Amino acid sequence: MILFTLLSYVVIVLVDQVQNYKNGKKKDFYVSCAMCLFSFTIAILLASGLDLPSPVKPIERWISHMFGS
Amino acid sequence: MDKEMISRGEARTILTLYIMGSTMILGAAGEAKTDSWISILLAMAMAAPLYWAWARVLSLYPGQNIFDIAQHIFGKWIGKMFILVYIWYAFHLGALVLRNFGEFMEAEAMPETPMLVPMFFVVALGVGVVRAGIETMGRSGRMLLNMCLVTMLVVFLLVLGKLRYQNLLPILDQGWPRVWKGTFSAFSFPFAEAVVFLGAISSVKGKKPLTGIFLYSLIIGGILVLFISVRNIMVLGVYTIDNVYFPSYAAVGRINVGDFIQRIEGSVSIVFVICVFMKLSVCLMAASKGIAKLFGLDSYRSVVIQAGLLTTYLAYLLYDNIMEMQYWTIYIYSIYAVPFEIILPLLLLVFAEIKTRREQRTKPESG
Amino acid sequence: MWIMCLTLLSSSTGCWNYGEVDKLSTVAGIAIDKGEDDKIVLTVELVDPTGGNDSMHTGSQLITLTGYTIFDIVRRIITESGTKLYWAHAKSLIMSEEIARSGAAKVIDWYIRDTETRSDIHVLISGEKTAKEILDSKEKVSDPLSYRIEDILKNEKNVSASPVMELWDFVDTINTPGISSILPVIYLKDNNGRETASINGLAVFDMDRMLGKMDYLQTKYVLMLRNELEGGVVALGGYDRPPGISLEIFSNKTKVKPVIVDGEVQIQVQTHTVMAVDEVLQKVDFYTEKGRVEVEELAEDTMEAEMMKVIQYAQQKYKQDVFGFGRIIHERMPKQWKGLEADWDERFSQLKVTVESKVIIKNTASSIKPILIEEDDK
Repeated sequence: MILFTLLSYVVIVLVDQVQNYKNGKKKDFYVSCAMCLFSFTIAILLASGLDLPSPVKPIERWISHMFGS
Repeated sequence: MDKEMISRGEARTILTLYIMGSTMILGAAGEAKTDSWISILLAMAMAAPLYWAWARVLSLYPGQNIFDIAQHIFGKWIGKMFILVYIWYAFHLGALVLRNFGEFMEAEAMPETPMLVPMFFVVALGVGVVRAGIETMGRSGRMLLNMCLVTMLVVFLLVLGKLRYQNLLPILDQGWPRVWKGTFSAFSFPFAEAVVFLGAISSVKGKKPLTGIFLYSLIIGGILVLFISVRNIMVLGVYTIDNVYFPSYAAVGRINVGDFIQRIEGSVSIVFVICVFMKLSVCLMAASKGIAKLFGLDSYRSVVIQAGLLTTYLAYLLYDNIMEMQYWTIYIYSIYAVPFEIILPLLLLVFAEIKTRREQRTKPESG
Repeated sequence: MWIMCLTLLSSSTGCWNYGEVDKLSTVAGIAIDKGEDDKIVLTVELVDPTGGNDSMHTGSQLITLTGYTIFDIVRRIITESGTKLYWAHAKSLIMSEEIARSGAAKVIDWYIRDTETRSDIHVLISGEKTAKEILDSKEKVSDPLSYRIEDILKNEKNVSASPVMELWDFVDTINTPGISSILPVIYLKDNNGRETASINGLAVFDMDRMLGKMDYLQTKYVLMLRNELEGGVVALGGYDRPPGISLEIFSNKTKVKPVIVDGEVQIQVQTHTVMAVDEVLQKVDFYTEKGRVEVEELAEDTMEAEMMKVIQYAQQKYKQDVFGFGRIIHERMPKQWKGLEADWDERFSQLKVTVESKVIIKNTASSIKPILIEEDDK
């Protein structure tokens, strides 16, 4: 599973990032790389079976606290 | 910013499919039970002025999308904050819709396939379409909307024998409070969600005012949502409609013509996939354009793939199970969405009006 | 761009991966009984493609297992059938009276909830001691009995001796206040040495608990009052009792109206039945205008009396509103219903109902008069 994720990301980088670099748009490349790193981290964490918390849980708790339904 | 134009018809199609979105399978205004049709009509009426306000904001600054406008009005830093908030909403909404789709696939269609698989497919398609540009989105929207309409018509003809109008009675059985709850819910989901659409379009061909597009889509999309809701109530009855996660699926599942035409729930899924795909694509488009504007990028296309991936992961992480999705949809979402759907756009409109008036006063009046 | 769009889209239309169709056993029907020690006994009738008398029929195979929950048993059946079960073609679900009396909802939840089963399966109650013995009867020399049952139920609308209930309709009515569920009853009969299945009469339910039965004659009028009657025969008199006419029901429309009389809610039933004379045993005048009207009126009186009888029976013996009067009051007079809903069973038993029947005889089949026209002068 992790191997699969790694391979997929290699493909994605080739398609996405490399194209950006070749197009010469510097800023686009950097931002896209940053996002890629971020998503790659999440992907690896998920692939290794880690249970990541849902980012909306705090919102859910806050709203039910405030409006108590 | 890319200057891509779409025709009015295409814009209408995209927006209509967007409004239909995941409501096609989840239903709208579920809290009102048999009176949800009243809620939907009221919600449409409530959303109309909102749609008018959005169209107005866009018309004040032709050729620019909501991110350009925000920066223009609020200035660099507040504008960027505005955009950031919007990007989050676009992401979250896209993830929610994607998750609805994934849960449906897992619960009814392919329980043994991991949820990520169908989600990835839809996202991949969405990314492809967004990268190809809004014209492609518009053109595919035309074809897709026709497919939806044909499918819905055929299904309706097949379900005629199972429709029981008495299920709608008695009207206002439990009184108005339930209907108001439903109205508020239907307003937030799906009607007011069209605010994300503002982030996706920038220019539309022709000189006619944009309000036509918005209101047209509201009415057509709203009527279709209404149609599906009423059909579901008439087939299922008040008890079942409360007890299933996907009312459209259950309703269509009861079709059995001559023992030959049955188990056609698959066709419901076609409509669902199409609408989810369109809504997701719009969210992706808006999120990508927002990010591009935020960082001053050359083109939003550079970030779509990553945006798609992130949306997928977010969708996956949102809940642990379908019950949480149910809880969120019924209790939390309508309240959570208010700032994004109402407060921010209204602020935009108010400030936009003020600013344009000021600019007009400083400019020499001609004629 | 347009082409790319199309190709991308066609790759997305979902594929349903239901593999390995030939490694599944098709379930034709199931029977649920109560076992010892709180256990459930589940019998499945499987289609046996190798059995059967000739190439046109398939045989059937029965597997019985015991367990604590339905789903548990269902999965363990694999240990005996060797393959996973394919439920999409299951046609009948038979419950024993014992199970029905202690609450049917318990045993059918799995069937409704599971995604592989179709809830349009027909539900029946066994009139014998167990449900299993129905499936086990020696009737099944060729096709699985469950399919035969479905055939009988499909033609039921010509007889109207029992209701036809699909599982989801049954579940819907369990929860609907103002109507009590009914299910057909299936028996085993000895027909000249052969055991055959016979479906007639209905079982009356209070929510999901069976209370008792009604016979096939009462059932006909229950169906009529529920506006579910589509065909059947009304016999006026008989071999030795005038007038000896069989009327075939072509169509029936029942209108139920709640009205308020002296401050209390009453029900007015109006039925409109189109019939034809299909058999005459005596020498009776039915073919003149006067005669026909007499027969119509006789039919009307007979049916009104039978309907009143069955209403009173339901009111007194079971106190269950199997006719759905309460539901109609709910739909048409919601304000009044609010006060009645809480103890509807009790109020139903006190409910005043009037029945008015209108019969129209539209033809007398292919003969104009009875065979004997002239009376022998004695």
